Amino acid sequence: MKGNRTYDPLLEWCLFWIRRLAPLVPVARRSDWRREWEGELIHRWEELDRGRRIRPSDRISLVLASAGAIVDVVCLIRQDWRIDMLLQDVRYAARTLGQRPGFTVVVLLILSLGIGANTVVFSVVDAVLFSPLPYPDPERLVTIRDENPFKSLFDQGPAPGNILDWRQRTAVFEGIGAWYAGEPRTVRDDTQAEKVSATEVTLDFFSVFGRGPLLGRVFDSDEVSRQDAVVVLGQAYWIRRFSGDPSVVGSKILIDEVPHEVLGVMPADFGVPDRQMALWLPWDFRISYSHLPDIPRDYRFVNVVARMRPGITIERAQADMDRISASLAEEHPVANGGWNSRIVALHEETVGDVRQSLILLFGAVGFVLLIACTNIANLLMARASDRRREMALRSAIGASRLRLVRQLLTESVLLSTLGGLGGIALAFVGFRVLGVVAPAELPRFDEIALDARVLVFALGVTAASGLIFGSLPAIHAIRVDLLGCLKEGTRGAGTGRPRRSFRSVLVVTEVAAALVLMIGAGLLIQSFIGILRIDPGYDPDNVLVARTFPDPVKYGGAEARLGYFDTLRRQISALPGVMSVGAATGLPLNAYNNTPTRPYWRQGSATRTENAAEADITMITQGFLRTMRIPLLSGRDFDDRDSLDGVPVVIVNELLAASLWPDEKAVGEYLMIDYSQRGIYPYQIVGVAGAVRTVDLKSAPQPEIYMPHAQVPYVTMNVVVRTSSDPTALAASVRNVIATMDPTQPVHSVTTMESLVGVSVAADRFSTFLMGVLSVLALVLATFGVYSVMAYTVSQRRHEIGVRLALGADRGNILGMVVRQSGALVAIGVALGLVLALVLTRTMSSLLYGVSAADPTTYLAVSVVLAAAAACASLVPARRAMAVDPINTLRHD
Amino acid sequence: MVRTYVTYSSGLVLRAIAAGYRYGFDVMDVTGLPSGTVYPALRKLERVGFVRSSWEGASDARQKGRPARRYYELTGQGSVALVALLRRFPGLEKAVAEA
Repeated sequence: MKGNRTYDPLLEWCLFWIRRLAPLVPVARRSDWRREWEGELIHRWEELDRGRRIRPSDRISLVLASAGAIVDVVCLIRQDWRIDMLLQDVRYAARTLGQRPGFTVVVLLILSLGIGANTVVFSVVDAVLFSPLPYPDPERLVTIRDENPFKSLFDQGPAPGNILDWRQRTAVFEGIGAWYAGEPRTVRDDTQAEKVSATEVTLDFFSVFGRGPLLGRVFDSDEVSRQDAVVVLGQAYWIRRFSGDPSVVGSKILIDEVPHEVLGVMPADFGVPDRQMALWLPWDFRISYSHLPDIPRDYRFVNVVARMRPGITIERAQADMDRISASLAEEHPVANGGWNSRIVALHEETVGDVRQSLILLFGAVGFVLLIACTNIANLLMARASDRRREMALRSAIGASRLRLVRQLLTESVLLSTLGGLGGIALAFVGFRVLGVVAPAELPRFDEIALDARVLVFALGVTAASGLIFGSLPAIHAIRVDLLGCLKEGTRGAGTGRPRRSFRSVLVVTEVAAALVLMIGAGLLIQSFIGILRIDPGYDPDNVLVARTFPDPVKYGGAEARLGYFDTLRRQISALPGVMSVGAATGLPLNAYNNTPTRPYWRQGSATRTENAAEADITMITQGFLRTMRIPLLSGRDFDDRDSLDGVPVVIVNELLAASLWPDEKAVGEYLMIDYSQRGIYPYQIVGVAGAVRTVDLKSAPQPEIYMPHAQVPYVTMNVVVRTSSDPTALAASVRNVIATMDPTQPVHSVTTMESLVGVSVAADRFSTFLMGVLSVLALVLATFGVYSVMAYTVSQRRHEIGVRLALGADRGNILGMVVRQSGALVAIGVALGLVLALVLTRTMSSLLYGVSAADPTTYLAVSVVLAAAAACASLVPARRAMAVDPINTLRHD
Repeated sequence: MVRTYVTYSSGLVLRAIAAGYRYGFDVMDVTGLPSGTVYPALRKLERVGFVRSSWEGASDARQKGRPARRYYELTGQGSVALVALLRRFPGLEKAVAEA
């Protein structure tokens, strides 16, 4: 053995590493192993040193020879790791966990919540953001939208006339498909008639997506170019209406009283525009607009999807479209002047709006898992401290440190496995809850599933969390002086400063993480409350909405349409509880709007049509403004004077009036509107109405024009009914009135204005709800973390506290000592959390409405709540410390 | 019986011990194998009972002014195994010169 001799520094260095490696060798072999390696190295050195100068190559070979000790240790450890020993470890771990059921249940609960929450949120994020769209080569699919920066018009559907030109002038696309989800159609048989969703699609539509039918076939070019009476059904509708009968293909069904041949059935996962779509019908622009002199170029409403040729990038396709837009603007300056077409990847177009919210949620739920793991690591470290004597004993009777580490890791892995299973079980429950609380408008909502990918993620999270919270106590087990501990006894074990400091770091981490999460949730809640407080410009309470689609053929003439809606209004008005009735082509926040956006200008001004501002035009019946409680600021409402042969009149909103007549009264003035097929002519303004938030509550109101339905008798209208009490109570009566008036024209949907408002804020409500739940979870976990650390600290310092009390310390001082200690940890955590929150919440600025990401009130309130919860959590152990009996404590020592 | 998991390098270590090279660094020198191969091979050969080890007497080591050495020697089982190994790897015979 080396004894007290000193050797050459290189040999000393080699011997140092042998000593560092030795603890990893199983105890039974450790002494021999170290003796053998030290002996051989010293002997070899002395051989080299004997009578000659040691060459550099000799030194290198000695270092290389000593490096073999690492491989030797690994082989010895591997020999020690046998499957039966692994099973023994698992059995021992299970027994150990069973002996502390309270501890085990708490850990499993925390872990299950962390993993379950992560799994549920991942299922959403994966389905919406990560999974490719369910079409072949989805990266080649793009949408094309029109924009006119001069008029501040963005994200508009292209016009049919331009789409035809694109097809001829660009070679970057394999195909350009177009569709329009128009009015629901009436499907009738001998027993029932129902309104179902329908989409008109052009020839390339199905081929661009690259999806074939489940049954039968899709349209051929002749059928589309003639707009034959043929139809492709959606699988969901086919199953619901025809019980999945394959013989439906080839048969005829009555759509809007016209027999249509069913050509095929599209599979359930074909979701354009959505997976509930019932009918796809052929659409040819030339036939649809054959009554017009030209196919329209300024009616921008069509949805377009195109498939880029292989090798074509979006930038290349955009350059091509820019060229075509410029030439179309030159050729058709009135319709296309100032307009460009923007190409967006279909995936981005589909999920772009929710990407940020989902990433925020994913980050938040990751924070929850971090807090959960930190909490568990804390608990395990406390427990490992309690078990140091046991570990020391096992080490003394032959277990290597690695063996002890393996035992601790086995326990962690067992815990994480059970927690993972619990998490997956909780995820199934959470998934059901998600189905209720998640807005159906969430893109790709129906693709969310707890599938194999999600389960693999859950397993990954389980393994990672097991390693995270298990490795920290295990690392500590390597570093402590086990035999010293055995000599010391249990008192004071594990209360060394480094160990306490490390656990304090864990508490600070979870307090900081919880604060960040709570501030994020606080900001979203503030923002959501702000949204709900927005005055939409109308009163959505107690308003029933019924969407009606009288058959345009049966109700082809203006008289028939006006007669239908007059009768409807009268009959609904006569129902008990109805205060007023009106109807409009479009309602605020309603997806089923049919409101054209057209250019307008002041009569007599030099503005040309192509430079004119544009506004939505809504056709309304008498009583609509009153029913919606949209204030009439000046002039009059529409009345019987505003008939088909009367002077064309409009009501404009205050924004439009102020923009054209800033210092004058608009009522009585004339507004030029490029709307009628009969040409451009003046409309007399008879009233000015209050501005309404039409798109969503967060978007500012826009200029708006109302035309009297009596002069522009649209066939598709939203009937609104103001009731004196709960409007849903009248839903059946209203349905009954509509059905009785014409049994072949069923109502499509009946809802309330309140629920439309609810739907419009559903995405905000959803993310606020989830962030709220996660932040409460974080608060609970962090509070529990503070409690567990303080409780453990007090239990370990009982002796010290007893001595202090015996020496005359006041019990109040003891309380102060404990509270100060926890207060310091929480204060550091809060300070760190505030800094982190300031940085991280910046990323959510665009999700907030009416509140800054650095809102001091939120920061202060959340800090106070967290600090108060932590203070409460530390009071329990503090009181326990105050109750320490010094006599008893010292006697037991 | 020769176990199939005895590799050529383990066989070489066994052959070296049979030839009279009795400690790890000695085996390394004669076989040219690195310590990271020789020592794991020695552990394995000892575990399967082909070699056994013993410590040099403390007084002998003290006399020579160096730490005691761990010596390895062939067991009866190891001799049988070596015969089979030499049939399997004929080159082993001449790979190590007799000590």
